[in-house]
Amino acid sequence: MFQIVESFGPIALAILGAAFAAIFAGMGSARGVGTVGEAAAGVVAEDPGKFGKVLILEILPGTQGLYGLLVAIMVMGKISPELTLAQGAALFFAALPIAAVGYFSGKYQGKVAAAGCSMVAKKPEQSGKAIIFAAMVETYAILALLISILLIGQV
Amino acid sequence: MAILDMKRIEILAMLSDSKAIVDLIQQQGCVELVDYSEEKFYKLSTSAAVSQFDKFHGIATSAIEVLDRYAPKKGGLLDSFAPRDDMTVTEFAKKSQDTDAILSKCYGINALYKEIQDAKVEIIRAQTGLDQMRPWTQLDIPSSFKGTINTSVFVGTIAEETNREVILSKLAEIVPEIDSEIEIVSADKNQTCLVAICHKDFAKDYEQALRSIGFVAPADPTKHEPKVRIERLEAEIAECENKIAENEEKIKTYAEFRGDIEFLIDYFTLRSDKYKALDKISMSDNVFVLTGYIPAIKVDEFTNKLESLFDVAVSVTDPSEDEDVPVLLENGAFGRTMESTTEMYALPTHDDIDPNKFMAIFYYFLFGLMLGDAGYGILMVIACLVVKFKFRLEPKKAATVNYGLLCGLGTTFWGILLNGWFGDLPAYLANGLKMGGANPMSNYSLFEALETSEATTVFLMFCLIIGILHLCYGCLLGVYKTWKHGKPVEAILENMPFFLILIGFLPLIDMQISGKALRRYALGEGITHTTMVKVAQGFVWFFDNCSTYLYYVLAAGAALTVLAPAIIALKDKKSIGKVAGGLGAGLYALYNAATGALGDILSYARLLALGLCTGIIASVINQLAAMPGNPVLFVIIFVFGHTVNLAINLIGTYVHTNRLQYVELYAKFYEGGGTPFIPLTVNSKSFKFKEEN
Repeated sequence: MFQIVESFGPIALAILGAAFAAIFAGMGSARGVGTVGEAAAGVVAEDPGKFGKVLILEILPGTQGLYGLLVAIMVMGKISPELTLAQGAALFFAALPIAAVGYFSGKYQGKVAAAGCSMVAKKPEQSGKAIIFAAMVETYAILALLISILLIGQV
Repeated sequence: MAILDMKRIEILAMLSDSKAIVDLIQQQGCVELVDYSEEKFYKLSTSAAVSQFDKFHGIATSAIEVLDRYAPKKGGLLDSFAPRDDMTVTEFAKKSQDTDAILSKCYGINALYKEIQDAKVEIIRAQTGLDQMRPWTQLDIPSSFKGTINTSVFVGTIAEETNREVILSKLAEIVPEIDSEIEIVSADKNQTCLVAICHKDFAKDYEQALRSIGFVAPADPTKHEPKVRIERLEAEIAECENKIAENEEKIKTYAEFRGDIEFLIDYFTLRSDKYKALDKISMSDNVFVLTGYIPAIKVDEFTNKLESLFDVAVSVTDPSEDEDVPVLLENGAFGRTMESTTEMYALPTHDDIDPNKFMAIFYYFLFGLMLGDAGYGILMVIACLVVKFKFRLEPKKAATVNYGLLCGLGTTFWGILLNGWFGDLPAYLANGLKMGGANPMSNYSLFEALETSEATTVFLMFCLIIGILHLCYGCLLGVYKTWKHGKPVEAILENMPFFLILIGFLPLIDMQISGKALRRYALGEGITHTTMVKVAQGFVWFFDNCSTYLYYVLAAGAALTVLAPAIIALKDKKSIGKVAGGLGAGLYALYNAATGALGDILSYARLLALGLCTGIIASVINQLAAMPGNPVLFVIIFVFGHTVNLAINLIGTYVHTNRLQYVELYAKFYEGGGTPFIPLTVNSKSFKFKEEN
């Protein structure tokens, strides 16, 4: 097992971490935005005037992808020829929080925001609350992003 | 006080004046009518009139929708900021006389549109007919043709692709004795159209044989050759298409009446609202009574006006304690920018304080920090200023534009401090839009070395401290709110423990999060711009010297949290058992306060996360733009990339700033749940009343 990791070399490990962050957080966002998009299209079909309100809800789960991108870029910034194997592995692990939490947070925020769309359909004046429900899920992606950033800083 | 004081108003007047008085109330727009009923009075049923007006309203609305489709209004995005036309009451009365004529135009538009729809249905029907006839184009006899003197002819289809040989051989197996002729008219993979001929004497057996191999006669045989029917259907379609085009042109000629129709919609809204209001008044044979809520500041103006015009008896009283009095907010231009944000959460009740102007200060500060790019900020400021000076804005829209303006200013402020100018655009400008230039603006930035992990951690500490200040501010607002209700002891005991705990968390942040990084940063190694280093040194001094005292504050806060419920119970002279129960509740409150404070403070980490997000992605866009090394491509990629980045981050920032207000700040002092004040007023979209000269 260790030999496999060693054969990767430090740079490949760091890149794997960056790729994980971008891939999984992006997947979560894609899934989340997709879920909300379906619900939003249904609402707009009934009342095109609610477009603005559901659009905000649809974009909400998109931020996890951005966080993943951010972490990927920060890992990339750390890659240099002098990187040791331990540092490469550390960068890989540092990227894991946003990769995993980004995926699930995006997915579930999508579900909450989609439910928020049906809330907007029935009670448009309550859209602020729908946004808050969805924003709650994002907190954990932000915490994961934070820890990823801080961990990358430690390498 | 920003939540307006409400009074209950009761108006007693002659029945003959009822409509005129309701008209006046509607034009003044400052009274919310309340259903009033008393035994000796009866009520007017206006539902028939209301539904009539709603029907006309619907007709006018659908006429506008038709016009929107065929003769759309020209105008840009900014037109929604254009003010409504002014109209005096006399002009309104004069215009109201033409409503019948305009209504008949609406009927005209709707009739034309109905014809278009009918024609479209007709085209579909004809098209289906055509599709059925197409395979028969080559047939030169009517499909209803039955035969000559000696022969029987069968025209029909078999629902599969086949050919003459196969059919003949199948027939030969079933009825070998009959001589017949088959002619294939057309064949495709769904069906084969054919004509079969045999001697008349065998017609019956032959038909049965044909049926057994799946032959079906057409459902709708033609009297003439199929070609004739095809031509007729094609002519029908052409005619319908002409009709549609003709009607579209006719509808376009109505475009000049758009203004009148918009007026008509408003007119019927007004009438419908008025009759709904009439439903709420009570009357006897000669007088009527009307009650409602009116903002206290409007009382004099309104009653004077009413009494000068009519013989009325007006009484104004304070609403009773248990009434759900509607809420109307009155704020200055600054506080008003927050009103829609607060309304999205919930209106204040009369027990609350109006949070708008209090939260506004922090709102733009936090918003700016999360977007944190001077380039974006300046763009927002310019856009809002253009709208502001181009149009004479109505109050509500002015508040929206001012909101954008202040957000832009906050963003610019932080952008300058954090060195965000469309990411790191200055570096590329200095190097001829190519990669690898030094950023000349770095010297002016607070967090010059944000790339280093020390700077990031110091910035995180800074964000969390802003969070603590914001939360403390919420606690102070809580004190203010309860104190205002005449309960100073409760105000202090309920809010200050948490305040102290928050302050006591400061050294914990230093210890757990920023400690080593802050001290390394304060050494200032490799950092040319020293303002922030000095600030960091200040923080190090502060933490090194004050942490001990801050722990005492934390301990005091914790002790107070435990004791507060018991003290309040003692003060209210409750039994010993209640006081002891208060201690238990206090312990639980301590657990809640500790976890709550931690969660609340950490929530402000989003300030860092979102700020970094905007900045780093903006820099990546610049990098992408510079890659081809071509100025034109640079500009194209730059404009596109930054538009997308700004749009996404604007929404993110908006949502998260609101969240910090709703979840973190409001929880400290604000309840919400007030009913909005909805006066009987002129709900018009196309015009507004102005005073007559």
